[in-house]
Parts: sequence; structure tokens; C-alpha cells
Amino acid sequence: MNALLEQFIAESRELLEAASGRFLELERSPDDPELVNELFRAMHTIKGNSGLFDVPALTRTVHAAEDVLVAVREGALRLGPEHVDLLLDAMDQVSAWLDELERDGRLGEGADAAGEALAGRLRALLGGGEAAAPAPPEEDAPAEAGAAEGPGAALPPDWAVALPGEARAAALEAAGGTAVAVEYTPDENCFFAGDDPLQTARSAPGLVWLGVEPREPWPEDPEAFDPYRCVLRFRLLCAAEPGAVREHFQYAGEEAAVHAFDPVWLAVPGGEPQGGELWAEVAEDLRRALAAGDADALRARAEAALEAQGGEGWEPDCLRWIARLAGREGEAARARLALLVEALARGELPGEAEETPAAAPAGEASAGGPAAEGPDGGEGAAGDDGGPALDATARELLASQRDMLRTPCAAEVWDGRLASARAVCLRVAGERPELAEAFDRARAERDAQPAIEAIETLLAGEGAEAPAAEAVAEAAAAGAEAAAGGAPAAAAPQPPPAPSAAPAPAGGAPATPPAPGRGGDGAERPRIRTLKVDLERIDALMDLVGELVVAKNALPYLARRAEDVHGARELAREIKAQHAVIHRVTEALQAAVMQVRMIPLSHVFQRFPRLVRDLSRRLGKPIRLVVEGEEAEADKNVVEDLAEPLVHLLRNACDHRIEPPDEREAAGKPREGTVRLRAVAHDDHVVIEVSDDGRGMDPAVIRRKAYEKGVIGEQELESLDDQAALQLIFAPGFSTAERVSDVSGRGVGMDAVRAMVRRVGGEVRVHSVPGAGTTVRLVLPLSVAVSQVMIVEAGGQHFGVPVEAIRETVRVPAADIHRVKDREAVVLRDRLVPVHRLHRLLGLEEGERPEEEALLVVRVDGETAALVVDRFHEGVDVIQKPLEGVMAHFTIYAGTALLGDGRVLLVLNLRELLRCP
Amino acid sequence: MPVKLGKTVATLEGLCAVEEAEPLLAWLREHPRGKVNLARLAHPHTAVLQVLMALRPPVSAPPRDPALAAWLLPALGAGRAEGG
Repeated sequence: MNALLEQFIAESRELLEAASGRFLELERSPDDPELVNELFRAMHTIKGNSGLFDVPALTRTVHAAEDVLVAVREGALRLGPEHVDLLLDAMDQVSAWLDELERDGRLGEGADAAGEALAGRLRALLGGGEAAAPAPPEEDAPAEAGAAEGPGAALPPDWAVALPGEARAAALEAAGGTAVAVEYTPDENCFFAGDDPLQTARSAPGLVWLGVEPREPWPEDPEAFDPYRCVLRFRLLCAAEPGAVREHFQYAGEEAAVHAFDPVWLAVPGGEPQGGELWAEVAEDLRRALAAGDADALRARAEAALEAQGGEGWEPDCLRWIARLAGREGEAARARLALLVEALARGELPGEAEETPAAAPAGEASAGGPAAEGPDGGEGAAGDDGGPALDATARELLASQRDMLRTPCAAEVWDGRLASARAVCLRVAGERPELAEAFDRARAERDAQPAIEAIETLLAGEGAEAPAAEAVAEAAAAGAEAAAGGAPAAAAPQPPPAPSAAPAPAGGAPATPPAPGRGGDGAERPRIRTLKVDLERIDALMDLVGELVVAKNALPYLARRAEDVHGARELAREIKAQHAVIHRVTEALQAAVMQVRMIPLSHVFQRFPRLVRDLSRRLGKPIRLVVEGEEAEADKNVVEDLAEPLVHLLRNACDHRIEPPDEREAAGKPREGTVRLRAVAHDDHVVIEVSDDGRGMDPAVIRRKAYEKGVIGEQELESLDDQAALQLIFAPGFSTAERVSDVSGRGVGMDAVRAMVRRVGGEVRVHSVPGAGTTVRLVLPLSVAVSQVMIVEAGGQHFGVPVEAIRETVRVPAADIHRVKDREAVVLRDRLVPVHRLHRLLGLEEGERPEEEALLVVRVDGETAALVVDRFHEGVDVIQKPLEGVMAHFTIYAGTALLGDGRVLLVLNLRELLRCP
Repeated sequence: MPVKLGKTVATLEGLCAVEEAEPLLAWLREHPRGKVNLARLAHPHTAVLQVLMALRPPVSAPPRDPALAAWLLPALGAGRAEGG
């Protein structure tokens, strides 16, 4: 899959995940503007990015969601639960599409229809009339494909317009269809990473101008100045393909804001206006040359006038720009020329109310290129009323799309660019089948030519038809100033005001090919504070730590050898001292690596409010979920494996245990049920509780059910105490649900929960008070990576026993072990404990029975048992590996571990082992 | 050594690496009236550039490389260059 798509999918998933939570919050507090804004931004980002790919259904859906949010933000719509339902559905659909996209690289059949339907339903929220209306220009979806850079992408940044005339002239001269402005703000600590930002800046492709300035005032006192903290900011103008510049700055990431724009917008005259009648005459002269489409004559006249009138001041500067622009290709350049000529006549750049003269010739020129019939143009330049001006805006947009399609670009962004151009053109020109067809052909043929021709035809075909003008009317209202040729940036002769406020996307974005990668993602994004590291690397690190632990464990053996074999007691002591140091460092290292693997439980918890809400609505019971302690952390594997069991538990709580509201009321409880999800982190384990204030569980009922289902025998039916009986719900094949609903209750839930929890080395218990509620408690290890085992010996072999299961080690006289029928038992601390012999369980040879037996007392699933072994050995930290291959079937072993002396230790799975007869 | 620290003039030549920033800064602090000769400078490391920009020593000789001079002198406040 291409990297761009991969990034889009990952980023969109993150945004969606966060958005789901926000939608729920929004439902509770529909008036929170911050929430709406946040959601809007999320939708906007997904939408904008999606324009890079051929996923119209996705774009349309997100776009519709965005429109709904706009309506909410503007107070035109108040969100109710059904709205949120719909929005959540849309998010689910988008998420499903992302999965498809990841799997197949494209959306499946029917995505378009589904997208259409969803978008339609969303837009229906806005009220019928608006559903069909074209979106307001600033919501212009795929046109913003390149809009990672924000509005006004095709306008130069303010600072670029404010540069000295010579710098801008050089850029204009050197650049083709696009110039690139880069604002590069290197990280303060970049020197320590070996970077030389200046070198990066100086070697930028097509560098025309470079400016360096401090981003904070220099300290007054030279002593306070730290030369190794980079506080410079670089600004560059490059005459190069935006792609090349972005590639150059790719390692700078978000430190470099790469901004592609049409260099003609750099043509802003500066200096003091001189005034006088004569400029109007010059302008008249130039206007004629312009209307005739004679670029050489235009340049010659501008230069002649410049020579005649002297070089200083605003008007001569105007002439200079005219001379530079004359003969330049492209609509924007011609529009700009017309604007400058007009400006010369007036002594100022035409403001936003007077865009007509600038825009009209643009339309005219496009009709037949530079050598077009003159009279029309003259008329246009003389100034018309608003109608044709709007049309000209549309024309200019179309022309800019055409120019964009003409410029070559990297293959991976070509599709996105075509899609973006198509969307803009269709929106601007109205739904024209022949245009859409041309774009489809272009896509099929992987050649933009049909689309370019279609646009040409449209432009040449006296495009004053009503639909175009109408379709664009709205766009023009907002976009006129921008589309009129960057007028806002130039409205004041000297330091141009910020064009950032100008709603440029209409004319702007299309001229920028979609940004490949992260280079241009604008400066507003927060700094990267966290790293995304491939889990494999962390695992590799963990493995190395494991090897280090093993190597470390070898030192005590070495010390013993030094003493026993070589008699070097002094050396042995030193080795032991070193071992202590290495041990400490290894432990710290291990802890640090573990820390890296820790993620907060909120990763899984955050999806539950949605789950409970859905369940609550589906079951018709009001249920509130209270989440506590989601900031507690645990190993990534543990957290991820937790999701499924918790879903089961929450479903069970909502479905079976929370009573219907009427029943609750009758029992004197609030109608709304409460389910509490609580996490508490302890030293080496984390406790997660799912509790509810529902009807609770009756041990007698459970006992009877378990008996009926054959889970327990008659004897247990009598003997099980209440708490033990409750645990039966985790037994395979047990379900107390009286009816099977679509939510839960197929008799697998709790069994599966226990299996999953145990897989990560955890344990689960249930506690319940009839009528008052139930609490299911999961105890999970914080980490599954390193475990402590005690080594025991039986039949001449060594085995590991997980330390957490061991209660004590005792030696008892052999005579104290009594035989009860075929079982053995021992009385320990006044309790009868069953005794198992490890040899027998493992089928090992049994040696002579000693007078005193070594007993390992363990506790598994709440049951205490004693294991007879030959000898106890030390406890060690091991990295336990699961059994693989043929060994995987031996469930009596939990895994293997490598010991310091190179031996492989089999770690026992006591639960399985003790189940053996 | 690309940075020669004299009595009144520091001469920067060729490629001035990041390590030069510290001694140059120390020299400029000690010689508040010291000048810099950039005639044969090819490329200052960003850190060196920062030192020049922060302390603004008078430039006794501008870089001969016109491309370098074009942006370096404005950054250093070329008005204070003393020809040469």
C-alpha cells in the first residue's frame, strides 16, 4: 500500500476513535462549542485528506457530517440522540470503509450508494432544501485535497508578499506555474541531532531567496546567549516543483511549512505613489496592448514608459511588474496583468468591490489565448456589472484547474489531483455530464488531456450559461476577493495586509497539487511529543533484555565455579559484587522497556461509553456508565487482550443484571441503572472491576442451573458455599440467561472471559449481593514479559513454578502424609490439604522416599494443594516463552525459559497439572 | 582551522562547523569591538550563523561568494558592514 494511504488510514482511524467519544459527550452537552469545533476539525481533516484518494463515498459522508456540525455550531441545529445515532452510524461506516481501503486498496462495491444514502440522511437533518444545494465554498471538499496547508494554499504567505521587490521578481522569473514558499523553524535542539538547518535551507531545490531571522529577540546580554539552542527561522522562496521541495524538507517534518502558490501573486507593486494624470494615459496605452493580446508590445510599452518616467515610486514599480508578467502563460498571470494595468490607471490596486476589470479580461483571454479578439476584452476591462464578474470567477477557477492538470506531478498524487480538479470543476460548472465523463475518461486513460480539453471547451463555449453562474454565485460571494487575483493581499500598496482572512480555497487550493506526505501539513499542528515505534522493535529490545537477564543469571554460577573449582574465593566475591551491579542495572533497564510497552487502559475503555449507550438504547433501559481509573497503565498485550472480555462483561451487566426501569422503580432504585468500570493499578498488577447496581445473582439459582447443565455433580450441589457457587458462572457451558437476546447470553460469554483473562496470566472473580448488584473483578499482571519462577527438582529434572502461585515451602515427616482412599493429604495449619506427587503427575521415575518430604504449597483458583518435590532451588527472573511446535500440545507446561547456565527450564502450568487425576 | 581568532579580527574560512560556535562566541564576548572577516567563508553552520546574528560584530570583509553574501549580509544587518 502506498505510504500516503497508509498514513491517511492510520490518522483517520485515530480521529474517528476520538470523534466517537466526542459525539457522546456532545449528546450530553450539545451546547459545548469546543466539542463541536473539535469534531468539526476532525471531520474536516478526514475530509480534506480523503480528497487525495479515490474515495468519493467516504469524502461525501464525512463532508455531510461536517455540514451537520457546521449547522450545530451556528445554532441552526440542535443535536438529539437520533442525530447522534446517525452521526455515529456514519462514523462506523467510514471506519468500515477505512478497513476496506486498507485491505483492498479501494472501496468495495456499493460504497457509493451507501455514501450517497448516508450523506442524504445527514443532510436531511439540515432540512430538505439544503440537501441538494451545493456546499458553501469553504466546505469545498476535495478541492481542499491540498488544504492540509489550510485556506489560501495557492496564495503566497504574507511574508512572501512582503519581501523586497527584487526577491519576488527573481522568484517570479525563475518559477514556472508554481513557486514554493517555505517557512522552516528548526527544533531548538536540532544541533544535538547533528542537524545544520542552514545547510538544509541553502540546498533547497530551486532556491531563489533565503531569509534568516531570529524567532525571539536576541538577549541583551551576550553572556545569556546559548549558541547551541537554535532560535533561527528560515524563509525560502523556491522555483521548483512543490513535490521536490517537500521531499527536500521531509525530514524536517512539521518544522517546515511548505506552501505552493502561483508566483504571479508575488507581483505586488511597492513604493510611494507619485500620482499624476500621465499614468492614466500610460495605462490606457497598455490596456490596448493587453486587449490585443500582444505580449511583446505590452512589455515594450511598459519598459518604454518606465524609461521615460523614471524608476522610483509605486507606479514605476507597477510598470516593472507588468513588464515581468507580460507574455507569461496562464489565466492567473493574465488576470494579474489586467489588474496591474487597472491599478496603474487608478493609482491603487483595485479593491474587492472592483474586481470586474481584473476578472473579465481573464475570462476573455481564456476564450482564445493571447491572440484573442480584442473588442470584447476592451469592454470587459472597461468595467461591467456584477453578473459577468461572477462568471469570470468561475472561469478563473476552471482555468486554474486546467493549468494544474497541465503541470506534471508525481504519479502517486496524480489520482488525487484529478479527483480534486474534477470535484472543483463540477461544483463550479454545475453538474455537466460531458465534463464528468471527460474526467472519468482521463482517469481511465491516466492522461489528463480529455479533462483539459473539456475545460477548454467549457471556457471557449461562451460560458455565460446560467447554471455556471448560479452554481458559483455562492462561491463568488465569499471567494471573490481571492479569486479576483489575490487582490486582498495587494489591497494596500505598501505592506500588504494578511490574506489569511481571505477565503481563498475557491481559487486557491486547486493550484496546489495535493501534499505528498507530511511536509506541508501546516504549522498549527502540535509538536510531536510522542513517538510511534513499531512494536517489533520494542519486542526486539525486550528480547535483548531477556538475553541480558539470562547472561546476568550466569554470573552466580561463574562465581561458584571460581570458588569451587579454582578455589579463588576472592575472585568469586568480586564476581558476586559485579553481579549485584549488573543485576540492578538490568532490572532498571527491564523496567524502562516495560514502561515503553505500557499503555493506558483508556485505549480500551474509551470505546465503552459508546457500547453502553448503544446497548442502553437497544434494550430500552436507561444505563449510565461510570468509568474510573482509565489512566492506569498496563502492558500493551494485556490492555489489548482486555477489550474482548470487558465487552462481554459490560454486555452481561447491561443485558442480564440491570433490571428494566419499571422493575427498578418498584425495587426503590433509580430508573437509570449504573454500570461502573473501574481500574486500579497496584505494584505488579492492575485490578479492573465491572460492577452494576442491578438485581444481583442468587447463588442458589446458579447452583441449581449448574447442576441441571451438568457443570457440577450432586455432591458439589450440596457442598459449594455461596461465593464458590457464584464462580460457576465462569464454567464452560453455563449461562443463566432466561432468554437469548441479540446482546448476550449464548452461553459462551463468561467462560470466554475467564479463558481470555487467564491467557494473559490474570484471574477473574465475581462477587454479588442479591438485589444490590454484582461486581466482576479481574486481576491482571501489569506485564507479561518477565515472570518470577521458583526452580524445583523432581526425578532429577528441574521445573519452574510461577512464584505468584506459591504459598509456602515446607518439609514434613513422610508419616504426616495420610492416605485417604486413593488420595493423599496432609494437615497444614489445621487444614486438610490434598497432596500430589510431581513425579507421578509428570510420569517421572520416583526415587526412594525420604523420611522428610519437601512440600510446595500452592494456591490455584482459590484451592490450596501441596506438591511433593525432591528439592527446592532458587527463584529466578525469566522471560517465559510459549511452547511451540509439537510441544504446544502439552498444556501442563506454561512455557519455557532459558537459564543462566544455558539450560532450558520448563515452567509448569499448575492449573492444568492439578486437574490431572 | 576554519576560524582564526586574531587580536581584532576573527577570520572565518571555508566550512565552519558547529564546534566553532563556542570559541567564536567566547572571542566575541571578550572582544566587544572585534570584527569578522567573511571573505573566504563558504558555509557557516547554523550555530555559527546564530552567534554572528546575535552579537552582530562589524563585518570587515563580506563574503566573496555572492550567493552567500546575498542573504548573509541582510541577516547580519549589512548596514554595519565596514567595506573591505
